[in-house]
Amino acid sequence: MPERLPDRTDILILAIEDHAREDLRRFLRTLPNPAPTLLAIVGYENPATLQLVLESGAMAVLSRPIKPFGLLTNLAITRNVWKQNQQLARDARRFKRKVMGDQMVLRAKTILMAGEGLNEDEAHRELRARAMKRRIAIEIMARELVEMHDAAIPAGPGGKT
Amino acid sequence: MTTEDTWPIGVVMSETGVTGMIEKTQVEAVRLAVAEINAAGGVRGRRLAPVYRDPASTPRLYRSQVLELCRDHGIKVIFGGHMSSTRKAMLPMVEAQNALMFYPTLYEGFEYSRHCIYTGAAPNQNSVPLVDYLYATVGRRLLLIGSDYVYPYESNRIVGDLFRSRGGEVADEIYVPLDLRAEHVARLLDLIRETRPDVIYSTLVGDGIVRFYEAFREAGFDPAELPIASQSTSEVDVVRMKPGTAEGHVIAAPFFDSLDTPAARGFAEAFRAATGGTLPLTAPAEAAYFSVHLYARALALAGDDGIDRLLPALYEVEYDAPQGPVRVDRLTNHTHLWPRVARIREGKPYEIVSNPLRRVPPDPYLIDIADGEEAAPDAVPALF
Repeated sequence: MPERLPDRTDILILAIEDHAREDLRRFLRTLPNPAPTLLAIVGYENPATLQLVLESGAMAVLSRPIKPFGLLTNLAITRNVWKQNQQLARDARRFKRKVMGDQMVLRAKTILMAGEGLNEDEAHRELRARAMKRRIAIEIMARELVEMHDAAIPAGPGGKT
Repeated sequence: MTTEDTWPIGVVMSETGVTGMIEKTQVEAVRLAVAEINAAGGVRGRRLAPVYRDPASTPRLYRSQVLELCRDHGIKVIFGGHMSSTRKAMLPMVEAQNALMFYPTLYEGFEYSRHCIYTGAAPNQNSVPLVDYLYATVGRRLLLIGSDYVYPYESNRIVGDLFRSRGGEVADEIYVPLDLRAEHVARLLDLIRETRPDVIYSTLVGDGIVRFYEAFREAGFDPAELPIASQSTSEVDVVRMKPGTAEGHVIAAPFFDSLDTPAARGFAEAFRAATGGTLPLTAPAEAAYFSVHLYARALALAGDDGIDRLLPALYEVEYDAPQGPVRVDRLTNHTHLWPRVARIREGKPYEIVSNPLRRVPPDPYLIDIADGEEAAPDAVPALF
């Protein structure tokens, strides 16, 4: 069992051996995030072994005795599923950022409307104008404004000072 | 090299190495069954012609010897295998040669091959009565110990789950190498002192068993208060322990020498006569013995030892084994058995403390146990 994986490893084929459970678990903790595409080699199909396979994050298994036939198909499918998973994770991160940015813009507009007596449309244009002037994204402008506002009001119980 | 006037069979069982002692009892049981069948005229007028190999408890040798027997000797039926690694080594060869293998040893379950007949206990068969006995009469805190390979991990997982499902508690779990050294024994004893369990379940395998039980007794633990329960400790280990070591510990198996039925007594006497009383009688030996008789029954029905004729015939026959009547389940290729629990008595017949009311079907994938637990945690297991 190597100490850790070589840098920029794309594909990891890992033998799940019961007698090396602790070494395997230690090795798995050293994997980078995102982990490489992982295929497990298994000799047994009992739940104690399955548990290790699941913990490893393997997306395919190669059964012992290992035969060349099926390896390429497993490799192709696993790499494809891994790429789709990475894409989905990226999309999820982007949408999460977008939702949080939208919420920030909404709060910033509310602050402007209350503080400067603007209607929603005017508040939006004001926010966009400030962002353009400083050449930053409207979401970042909104966050600054909200943070400034929050810092200015006196902290409630348990709040930051 | 098949000869028309005999039925050749391959026997791949170790007489040396870490499981050589217990496998030797299996070899002798095969010899006995073959002698009985041949003395009665063989099968359809042809004698059984066993070819014996000693794979020395080494998976690589099990594989090469099976291949040699099937390919070079035209043998179609193999008896053998003990540890799971040895079964796994043989199976691909047996499958590739289109042969049939009888595996007469308890194991961890979760396997099926059309080419393998499993005549030892599946995990449901011994584990359920064992846990019921321990929970009802010994205590609530269980410590799991085992050798570091697949059977102990899985068997401990199953016994731990069953114990918890009854309301018990698993104090801890620890694994040590098959090649057990003094420092490992010390670690086991330290953990026992530290966790203070009511009962220990051991899946230690091989020669280390004797050393551990002796050290346990020497450390002052009393089996009457804190017994070690096991399915993998056998009579072979017990006879090698120092006097005063084994008394009171618990074993689960489908067969015990002390079983008081005509079939069991007849088998025990014949085994002693055949071996000159030099070997203890074990449950894996009994499984090896009835495996050969089941094979002969099926062969008489099929008239052919090729798997395509022999396998369907195997599902049709029943054999009055020393443990009770046994038959092979057609869905799983495992065997319907009579699991029992016994307390070891030194120099006396083991005291059988749990007897099945009826034969227990094999459940190698633990389907009924899981269902029973989900439906009603306090209910009597679905198996009984």
